[in-house]
Amino acid sequence: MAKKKRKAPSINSSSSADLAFTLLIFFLVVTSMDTDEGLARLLPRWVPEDQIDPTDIKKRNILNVMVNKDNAILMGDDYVEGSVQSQNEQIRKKAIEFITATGQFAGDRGPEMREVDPEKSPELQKLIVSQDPTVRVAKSHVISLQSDYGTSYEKYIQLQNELVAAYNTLRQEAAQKYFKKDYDEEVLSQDEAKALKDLYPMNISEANAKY
Amino acid sequence: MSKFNKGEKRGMPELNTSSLPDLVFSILFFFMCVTHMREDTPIVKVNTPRADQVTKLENKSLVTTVLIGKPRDTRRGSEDLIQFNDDFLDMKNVQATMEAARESMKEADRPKMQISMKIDRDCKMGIVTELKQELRKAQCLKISYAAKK
Repeated sequence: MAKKKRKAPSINSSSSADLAFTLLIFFLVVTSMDTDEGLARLLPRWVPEDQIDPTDIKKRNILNVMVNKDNAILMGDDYVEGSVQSQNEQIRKKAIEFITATGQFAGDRGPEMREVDPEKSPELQKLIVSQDPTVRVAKSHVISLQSDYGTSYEKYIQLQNELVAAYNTLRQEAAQKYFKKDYDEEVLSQDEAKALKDLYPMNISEANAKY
Repeated sequence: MSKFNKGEKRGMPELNTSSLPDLVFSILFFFMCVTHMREDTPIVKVNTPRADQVTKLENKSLVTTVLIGKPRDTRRGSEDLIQFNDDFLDMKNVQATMEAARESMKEADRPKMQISMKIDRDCKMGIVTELKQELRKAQCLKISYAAKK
């Protein structure tokens, strides 16, 4: 009875590829790759109605953007009319003029322009004011966006988007002018991005919809 | 006497497929890493509006999603409704639900909680504004209007 040494029979693994493929396809079906995108906003803190403190903002610092239930837009004192494309261009242009206090909003008709406070925004002081001491910031400006209960959400987002676009256009111009770079968080250093944000602080207030 | 003997007829050599499973497994692991489970099935119709200034939401684990749209099930009527976690959410329960959602997060992440609002483009602002008020009451101040490019 001589024992023969036998090799353990190897497991047939030709089907493990099929197995892995099945798993792969399962994961392809039940998962999704798209990352969520959106317009990020910070809501104001909730204050009980009897404690609302009517903050005193000078009229010249506010740009009212109103959109009613028929989706008609009023910006400052003028209606914004025309096709969606031309509306967008008008909104963006007006918002840019307001933030920089130029054109229609030059001088007393626009927001107050202040000198940079080196303590509050050291990055801006170091990187931009040192290059161009004439820089002024519309620090206390507010773009107040008011909607109606019947306003369509699509119109509202169109407005929000154009207002954000106005800020981004300005920041892009400044990035090119002072840093010779694109306004892109990945290209700019942290300090540079912070300086640009302080130069054009985004101040969009979303007032409550009115009945 | 040629070195390249073509005397014998040889068949096509068989391709070695023993590494194929490894290959497929590595693709599988890649997909498992970069994708995430599809969220709960929407019970409201949501077609988000277009916007070209959108930014990406940084961290998935910080994001809570709320949907607003018309219900897919026509028996629920044609009014815009709020969906949260596979079920309709009543406006008066928003505050409690959001506070509970925040409680379930890690303590360090709670202040960073972000609400992604996926709202149908045909919605009216009324319900959106009411929801925003409720979110403010629940101290969920970081929001994002979902939009596509």
